[in-house]
Amino acid sequence: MSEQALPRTLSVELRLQQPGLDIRAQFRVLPGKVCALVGRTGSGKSALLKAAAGLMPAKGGRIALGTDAVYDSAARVNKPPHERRITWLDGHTHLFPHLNVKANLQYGIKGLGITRRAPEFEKVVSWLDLSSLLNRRPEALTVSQRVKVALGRALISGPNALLLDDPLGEVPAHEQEALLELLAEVPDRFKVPVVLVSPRMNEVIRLADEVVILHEGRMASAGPAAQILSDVSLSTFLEGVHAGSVLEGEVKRHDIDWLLSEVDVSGQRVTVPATLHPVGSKVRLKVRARDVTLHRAVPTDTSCSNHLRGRITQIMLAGEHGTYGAVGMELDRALDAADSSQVKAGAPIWALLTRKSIQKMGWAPGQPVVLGFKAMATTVSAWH
Amino acid sequence: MSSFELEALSLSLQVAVITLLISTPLAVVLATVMARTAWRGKVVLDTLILLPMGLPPAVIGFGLLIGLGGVGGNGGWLHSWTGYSLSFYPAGAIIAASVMTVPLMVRILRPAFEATDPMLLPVARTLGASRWQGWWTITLPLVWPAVASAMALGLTAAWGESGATLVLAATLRPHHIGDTTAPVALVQALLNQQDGEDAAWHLALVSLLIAMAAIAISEWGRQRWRRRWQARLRPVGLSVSTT
Repeated sequence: MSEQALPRTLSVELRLQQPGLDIRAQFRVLPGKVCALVGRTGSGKSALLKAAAGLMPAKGGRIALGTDAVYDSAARVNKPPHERRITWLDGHTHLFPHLNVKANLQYGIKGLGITRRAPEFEKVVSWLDLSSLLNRRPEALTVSQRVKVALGRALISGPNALLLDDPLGEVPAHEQEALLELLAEVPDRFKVPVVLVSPRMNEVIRLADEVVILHEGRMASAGPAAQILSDVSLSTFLEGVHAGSVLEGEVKRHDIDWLLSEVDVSGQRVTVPATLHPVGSKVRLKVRARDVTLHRAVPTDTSCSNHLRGRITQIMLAGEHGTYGAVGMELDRALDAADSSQVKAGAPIWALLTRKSIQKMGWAPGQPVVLGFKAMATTVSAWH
Repeated sequence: MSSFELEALSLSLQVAVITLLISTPLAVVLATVMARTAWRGKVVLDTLILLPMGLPPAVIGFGLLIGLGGVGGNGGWLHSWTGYSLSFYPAGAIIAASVMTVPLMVRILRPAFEATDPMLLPVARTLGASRWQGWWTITLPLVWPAVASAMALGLTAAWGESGATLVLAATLRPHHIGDTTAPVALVQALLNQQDGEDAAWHLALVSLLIAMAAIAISEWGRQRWRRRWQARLRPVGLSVSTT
């Protein structure tokens, strides 16, 4: 088996036929990047992953690693899963029950008698903190430990790409955070293209560089994560009233007295409940659109800690029957914000208002606006 | 033991071993198909596979006779098509034993196969295992206790098959003594011989020993299988972490 020395880009362009669903999608993932497939249950996300791995027949299209096609319906190329090595990991982990942890981890190399370029076994074991578990049987592990072993097994096999189908789906909620941090390290450490499917938006926000939205088998939208996740029409479709905007910023200061942190977003300060992310680290803030209030000027008598200046870009109807309005805004970039120049601005921020409020205050595109939201209404997550 | 008894035991053993060699692959394939696939009409095949377990063995013997041997040994349907007529030994005894053994083995294997996580093999494939390597490193180690269990019980079933065999023996060679399997020989001994009871005791004791050994092996395989299966079904969220 000839091995390419460098990790390669995964390009997928597929047509699939499922009962009652015709799936078409196209995406590219660079090594060390994460592409999230997002959509409701039954939109064809998992089927796409299975077909990419070679576990399910496709109806047509092309899957390539770099310039090498592993599947090409026009050229009649259809490599079996073990030659693609686009490795699968889902929440059920599928550890081999007759092998101990060590043999599971080494399945992709020793178990198959293969020597190949692979991240060294010891490094992965210590990174995942599995050294005390090597002689255990899978059934003696907790769910978190199983996910770690499955992740280690996938990475040690030296995959060309990693497919994560709701990898934390079976993990108890209070243990998900720690695993999410481990997953976030995968792209940089192993330089493989990663495709993620997850029903939890916090995982998508934490991990994704690119987002592809699937709706009934078709791509509804695709692009950089912050841009897609802040599009209110898409996020109301995905999350209903939990829809919101994602702001990218940098931690500037921690207020130990009040247990608050300050984050720079487009040169403006946002106060959030204290986070453990160190000063200087990049974070993503999620603000639900229904938690955002609009003002003509900064209000004086309010409990709201955050007031950002911006400009209204568009107003549209939202909700199932256009029952309320969505106001799209662009944040002003503070001129003194030279040090935050690496933070991209431009992702819209959205507010959901009743039509009555919009009418009463006479909001219209182009107007300057002060948008307010409480510190308690923001969720902070790290962002690599 | 007399040569009559030894001959019966040796014939029984040959029939049982050959039956096992035929039934095992057949039962594994059928159990895999029944456990892993879903299609319209599957229930019909299911019924046909298990039918011999529900029928009186004598009816099966009669069915085989009509189909393959013909009453009085003068050819059945098979004879009218191919000119071949079934003889009692070895073909008749082996076919009769196989018809009874395969359903039993499918019955034991199918739940075991159904309990195996169907994604194990696909995941192994994406980790780099070829189809053959996956079968060798994942499928076989997982199912062999169940297969061993089914084979052990299959052996006793093949050894002890007497209902259908007796019908074949009685009709194909009505007045022949000896040259038959242990259970049939036991009946013949009681019917025809002066010291029949002694011979019957010997044959019964050997059969008892074989049955005990086989059932012990079968239970061991089943327990081993169950442990693995239950470990998988345990609610993992409740397991205690020691790290």
